Amino acid sequence: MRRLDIFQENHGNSLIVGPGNTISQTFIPTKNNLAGVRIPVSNPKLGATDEYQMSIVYENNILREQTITGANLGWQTTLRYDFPLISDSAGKIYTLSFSYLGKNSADEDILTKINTGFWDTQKPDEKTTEIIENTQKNYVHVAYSKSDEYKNGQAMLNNQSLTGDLSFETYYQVVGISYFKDTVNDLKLRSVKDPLFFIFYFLFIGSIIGLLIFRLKIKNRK
Amino acid sequence: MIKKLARDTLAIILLGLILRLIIAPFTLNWDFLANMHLAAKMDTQSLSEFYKDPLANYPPLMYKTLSVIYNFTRTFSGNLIDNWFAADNLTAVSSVYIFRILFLLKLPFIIIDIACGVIFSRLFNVGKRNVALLAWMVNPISLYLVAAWTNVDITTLLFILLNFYFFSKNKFLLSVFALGMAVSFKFFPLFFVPFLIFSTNNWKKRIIYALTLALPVITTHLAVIGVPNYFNQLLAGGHSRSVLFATLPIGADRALIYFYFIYFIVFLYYLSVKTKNYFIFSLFSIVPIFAFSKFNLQWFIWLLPLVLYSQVKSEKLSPNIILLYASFFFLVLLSQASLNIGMLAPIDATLWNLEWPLKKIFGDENIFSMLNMVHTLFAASLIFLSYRIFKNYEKA
Repeated sequence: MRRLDIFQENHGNSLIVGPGNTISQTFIPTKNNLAGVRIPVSNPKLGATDEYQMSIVYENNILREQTITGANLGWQTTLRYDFPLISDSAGKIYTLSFSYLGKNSADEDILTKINTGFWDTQKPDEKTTEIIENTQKNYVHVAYSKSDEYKNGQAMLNNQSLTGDLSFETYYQVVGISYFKDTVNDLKLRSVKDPLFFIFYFLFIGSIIGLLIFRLKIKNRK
Repeated sequence: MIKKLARDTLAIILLGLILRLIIAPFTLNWDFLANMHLAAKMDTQSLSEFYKDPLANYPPLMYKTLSVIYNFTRTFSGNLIDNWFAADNLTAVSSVYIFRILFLLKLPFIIIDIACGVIFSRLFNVGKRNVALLAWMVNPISLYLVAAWTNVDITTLLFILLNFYFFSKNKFLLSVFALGMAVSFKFFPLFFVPFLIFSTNNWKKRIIYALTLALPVITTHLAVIGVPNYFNQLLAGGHSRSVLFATLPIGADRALIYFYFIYFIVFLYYLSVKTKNYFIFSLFSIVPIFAFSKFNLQWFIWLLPLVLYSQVKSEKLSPNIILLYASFFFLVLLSQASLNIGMLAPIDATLWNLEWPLKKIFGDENIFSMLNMVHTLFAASLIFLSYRIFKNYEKA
């Protein structure tokens, strides 16, 4: 089973994966056995056979990669990329990379300007607006937040840092009893961060149990 | 131990409270979350805007009540709950404060559930009251649907049970008013209205009952009378379509609707009998919803009084009852993760995104075949249970 490790789910924008526009996100898993990543995507070109590549990179080495086609992606879906586990992953900086394998250099410049927010400040004319809208419809969009939501990493466009982060989740592999051990440990760690509630909760339930036992003993004597 | 417990009303209530408090902080259903989200924003927008949301399926009194509960929780949790509701799903589910927030949000519903148990027990004679109360307090359906799922229909059930209770004490105006309140929380108790109105042969009383029932319904709906699409959404929305889906084609563009067909037969039989048992017949009337439609699992709480009535009267767990419970829980287990293991997401956020793991193991076709089989067993158990209750009623 794959268990959730880290996530960043805020987004209000998107980045477009296309020719000459490789989108990536750095992240640091907290657990060993990194085995999956999920990112929300939208695919305006349903059924297209364009190919994309997802890869997990560590220190410029591609550890895992997978080719996917646009035909496998829905209008708005969570792209789930599961891969054989990377055992010694905790605390290391990995890069999730999402690139377009097709060739259409005519769209490269437009997409780069969209992704860098060029037209946020330079209002395009009507003809350019139409080109922008048509170009956007041909490629997969990944959910992105312009704010620095994830402090241990950042989004990148062609290895150049952007201000914000992709929306993403990472998963690690657990087997059998490890799942329960990890879950209980995480629960303990969370419970000590709200000690007031848990002290009250256990005292409250304890009191009710005590009262119940007391009532039953009284009834027994009678 | 159980015999000792069954002699002590307070001990039974304490046991029910313990079981519910153990479950409540560690379980969450998206349905409850969605309803509380809606309630949180009710005061910030007009009712026209509010009811544009396709998830807004309850009358305004329900959301107003949920809003009161939300504000009660804010008293004890300050900004925590506002931040929690503003967060996205995974952030909310993995929050360190989720346990506190769920405890506070669910506590009123737990109290209402226990109150339902107490009122239900008062429908029986003194000798069986504690047995009935114990049956409700430890009932797995109640624990699952209220403590874990937090089905807000429990507020409607409270008034339905008050309706039955007052009727059993011959306080008919209070009974009618309570049913009117139940309808003000959710529309399904409308099915009980004909049985209550026609529980008397006196036309003057029938008119008084109808007006008394209409009073809370109209009062609580004054604000939404002009809201576009309100009645259409609540009466003819997705839930209604699922109830009316099962039909028997009898000609071109013509079909009998199974639910209404059996409902009208039950009602006509009710009119024909001299001694009218309002409790049994009104609950019988909604049995076809569960036998002949893809009902929402949380609706089963509406039938809990009928199932427990049979259990308490027979003084044992018959094979019929066991099969009914087992088939219901298999329906739960075979469904998507959000209705079973996904509810444990406060303990492990991974479970929130699980979707439907059994589909991956068995395949779509096999899962739906299993669901069909289990639903058929459930329907058969329910109908046979109803038949046994009816036979005992006829003997009496």
